[in-house]
Amino acid sequence: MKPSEKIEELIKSVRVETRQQTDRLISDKAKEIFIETRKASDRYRPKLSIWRIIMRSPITKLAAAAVMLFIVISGVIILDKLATPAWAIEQTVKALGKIRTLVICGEDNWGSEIIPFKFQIRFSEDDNGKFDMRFESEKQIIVVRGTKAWTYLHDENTVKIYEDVTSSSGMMRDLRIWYKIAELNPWITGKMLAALKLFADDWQETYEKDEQTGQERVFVNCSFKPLSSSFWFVCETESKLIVEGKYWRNTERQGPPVCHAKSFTYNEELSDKVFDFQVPEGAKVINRNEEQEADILFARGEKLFEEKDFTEAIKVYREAYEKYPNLNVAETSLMMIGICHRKLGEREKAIITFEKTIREYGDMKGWIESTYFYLGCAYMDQGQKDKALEAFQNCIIMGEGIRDSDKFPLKDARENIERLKKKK
Amino acid sequence: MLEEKALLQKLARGEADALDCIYNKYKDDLLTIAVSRLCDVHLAEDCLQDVFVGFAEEAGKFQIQHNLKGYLISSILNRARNQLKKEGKTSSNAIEACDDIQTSDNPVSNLVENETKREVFNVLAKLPDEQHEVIVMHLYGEMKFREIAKQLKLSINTVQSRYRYGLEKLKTFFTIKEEEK
Repeated sequence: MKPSEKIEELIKSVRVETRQQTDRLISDKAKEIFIETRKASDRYRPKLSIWRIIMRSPITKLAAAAVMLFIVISGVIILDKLATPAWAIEQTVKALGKIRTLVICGEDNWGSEIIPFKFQIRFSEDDNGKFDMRFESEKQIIVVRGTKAWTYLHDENTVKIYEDVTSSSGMMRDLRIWYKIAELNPWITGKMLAALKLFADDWQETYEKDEQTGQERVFVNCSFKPLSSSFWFVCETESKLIVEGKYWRNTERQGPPVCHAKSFTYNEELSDKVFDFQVPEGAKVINRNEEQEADILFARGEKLFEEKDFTEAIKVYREAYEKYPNLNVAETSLMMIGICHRKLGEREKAIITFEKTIREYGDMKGWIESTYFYLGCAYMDQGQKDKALEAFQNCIIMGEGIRDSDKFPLKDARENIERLKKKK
Repeated sequence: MLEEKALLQKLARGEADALDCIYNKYKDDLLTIAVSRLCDVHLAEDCLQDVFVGFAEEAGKFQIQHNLKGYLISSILNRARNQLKKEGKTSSNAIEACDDIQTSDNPVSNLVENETKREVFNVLAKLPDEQHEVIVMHLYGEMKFREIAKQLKLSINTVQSRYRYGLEKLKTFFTIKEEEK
């Protein structure tokens, strides 16, 4: 029998090389495809500079507010396909350009929960691109006042403050995602007009009169397969404005929509009070700058961990934990300290640290189920089967509904439980 | 890693030549990995072409954000598995096909030059998918266990145990082969 190292060496030594003609064929084909696709998508690829210009217009300023407004923008774009004498995209764009305030009420789909939301936005009268915005639901509140922003998550009872949402470092997550989407696909800019004509070929339109107002409305259905998304919009042909919209993350408009914007109210008077943010009582307040510093420190620890310098990594993780005890990074750092101790063979210290993590951060939806998993492993190292079993079971309980049951750590915890039970 | 980043940035700028560099950097590893699953160089070359052309298409549309090496290796392994399914073979009966390779006009014997190569690929292809992927990622892709864990969304412990079990199996297979001789 060959020892493992020899087998590894043997496998590594056996290689197949490509033939020159294959190389040429693949290389040429790949370059040809790359250039073709690049050319095609360049036509629709919004450049960041273009995007920034677009961001100044009232229509796309909506996009910065929240991802759910995707439907508004997409709706405007989709409507172009309907360009009929009664309606042209330019008219809708022009109509939206005159808006000073907008209130959207609707429902967001959070997993299986349907959560009502209210979105309010007020554009600066100077037309300088600034706006105030408030998005509120049972789950979260987002307020933007000029360049400053606040986000509040009810479940975590945490407020995050962004001093300057326009700077890249201070940019809100949704806004960053939005920029990323703009960079990666042409859906949300005017470039979509051309793209849609090419790709969204299952659109449907129907004109109907509203029974109550007698006004003519157009109902639009459309889907876009590459994004697995579909849309439904209602637009008034007279005012050219969108009055209702739905967005699904499937192409068949199956099931409840991810977002249903039920009503759009344009140019309603919105007072300053609407855009005031009061920190809820007892909420944890996090300044984003502090969070970034913590992330940098944690990354240093990660690098040392990667380099297997566990002793130094412990020092850095400990610094992150002690300096930023209220941030999520503290919980992760503490767990990583435990993992480092385990790597160094310091089993007792590992157990103490994992238990401390659970004690101090047990109520956080971060890495707690993973910490339970590693605690179970540490107990297993020591041969304490009952305690290990308990930790793995806790891992499963804590991770249920939050983590994928077929992946780490739940899957591994289940396997370890079975293994331990067999040994008993 | 830095080189990989720079190549991806070049691609993002639309420089098609970066594709050549990426192809040359990974082609032999990817082909070897595909052969280790399929035991057929021609089929493995088809997979390599599919993967690379697919990658070029994706790179033309989007800015690639993945860990490039991990992404390419995972792609070629998926292609190879699909190819086996398409051919109605499992990894183990692919071996039979490989065992049958005797004649010089067979693609494998053209390229897999000597007996050792054939033996190693035969044995590797006998491994279950999950052990095979970890072993080839580590040995041919030179990926660290941590990187593999991240790529496959598994814990490091799982990756290490799959690797260990895989090596144990290989040892057994080699022993049987030696005894047969």
